[in-house]
Amino acid sequence: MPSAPYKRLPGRKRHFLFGHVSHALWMGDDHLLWLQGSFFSESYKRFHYRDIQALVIQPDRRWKMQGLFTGLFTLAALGLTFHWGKTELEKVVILWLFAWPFPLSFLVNLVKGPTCRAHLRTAVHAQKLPSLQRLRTASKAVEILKARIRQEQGILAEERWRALAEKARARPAGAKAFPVPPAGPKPGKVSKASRLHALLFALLLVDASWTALDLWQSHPAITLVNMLLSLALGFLTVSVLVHQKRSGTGGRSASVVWAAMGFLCVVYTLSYVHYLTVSLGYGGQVFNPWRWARLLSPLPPLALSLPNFIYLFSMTGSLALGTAGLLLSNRFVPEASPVADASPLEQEA
Amino acid sequence: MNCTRCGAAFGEDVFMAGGTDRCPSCGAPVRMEVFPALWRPLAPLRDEGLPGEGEASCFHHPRKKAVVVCQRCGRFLCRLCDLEIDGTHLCSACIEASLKKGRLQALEPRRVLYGRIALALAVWPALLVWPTLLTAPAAVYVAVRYWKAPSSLVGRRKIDYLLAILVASLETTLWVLFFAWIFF
Repeated sequence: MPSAPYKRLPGRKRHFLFGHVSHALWMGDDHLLWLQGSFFSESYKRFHYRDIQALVIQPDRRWKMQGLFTGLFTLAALGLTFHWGKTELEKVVILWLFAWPFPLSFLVNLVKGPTCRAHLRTAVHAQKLPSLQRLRTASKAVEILKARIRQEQGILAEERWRALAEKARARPAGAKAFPVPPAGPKPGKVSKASRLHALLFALLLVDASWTALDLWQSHPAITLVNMLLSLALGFLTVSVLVHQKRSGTGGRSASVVWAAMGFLCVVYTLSYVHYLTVSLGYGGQVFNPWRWARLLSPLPPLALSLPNFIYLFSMTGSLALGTAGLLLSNRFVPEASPVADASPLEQEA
Repeated sequence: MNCTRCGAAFGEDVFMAGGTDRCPSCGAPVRMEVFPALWRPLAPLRDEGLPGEGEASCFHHPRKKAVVVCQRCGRFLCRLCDLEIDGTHLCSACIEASLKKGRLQALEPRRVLYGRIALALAVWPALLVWPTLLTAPAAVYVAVRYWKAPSSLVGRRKIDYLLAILVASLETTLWVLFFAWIFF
């Protein structure tokens, strides 16, 4: 039995990138335990109920984005299943071996419901709560927490609350505000993460244009450059994800980067499946990049074949993500609220 | 705290209102649950002044009057040096030492899950079979060596160790039988 009686709050986040595998919140006697578990260790942060000032939940668009992309991939996977499978048995085998993750992830996302970002605020900092990533779960967890925090802190009388709010609102501009920590770079200054975002989105557009060129021009050098571009995109996307995780960049452009990661994974998987199919067709022969490029380049652009499908998918995906990313990215961080060191009650005193 | 959609810092108005509101910059919906701690003033640090005749001074600040004794090392501490954790008054040196030895659970920031390491050593290499010749004894060693090490604050405690020992013992037995079959 655990020495401290902790009770788990609803919500858990698991992911396998960057070494961290899970996030969860546990309720202790007098504090909330924030837990981040990796493969062989656990990190903890403790927030005493008496110190928690606010819980903030903000719905985001990840749900829609995930739904859109998993839906598209589901359609693509089902299309491929019916295109490849000549008999019922073949269709079933392809579906079970290759296509099933896409409809499954689409359904899981649909059932789990809208996504959100949750934060907990104390007098000294704001803590992101990654385990509360679905609105329904977050609402449940917040209700439980709210009751426990109120038990500890009590409830402020309505009149008193209103008086404090009015007083804070009436404060002249430039007066000290809440202790909002300065986030990100100064207004007008472009951060490294933003530059990397812009570079990634631009490279996606270059990739789209180059894939179009490759589709219509039959030259192995063009195909080889296209392969290198795809590889560079993969490295850059991982690098941007690491940077945005470190810098805590959120928002639309961050969602587009995640979508780009998912898109590239599908492109790589399809390319790998194609390579395996061709290699098996040549008796298990291994192709070096140049031979592979020579094999791919003479394909007619309008033929109904898997490589052409990959080309078209890659081209449209890169174009859509690159354009969306450049349009949606917030390169300039809005002005932050003034930082202060006193709460309204203190100033009142 | 900033809006996750547009990055703009939430103003006081959003905090004041509580409940469901919209980001003043981008209009994205936001739900705020505000608690009385938001209005609580920070307790000012009272200066106890210079130590008088016959009064003890702080170990770290000889010009300040001691107000409490560290309950682990016995040093006199002023109000600035006194750190109260779960009702126990400690000095910073004792806290650091306790953290290193894993004796201060209330402040522990991280724990290594040796049970999981032992289990991983026992199970994962079994996929390739031959590495278990080395990893099975290693798993038993880790499980026995760190049996008493503090485990997860919230999760299962000894089940990982037991499973690791069980699986590793089984693997070792199979290896012994295999070699016995080859050589004898």
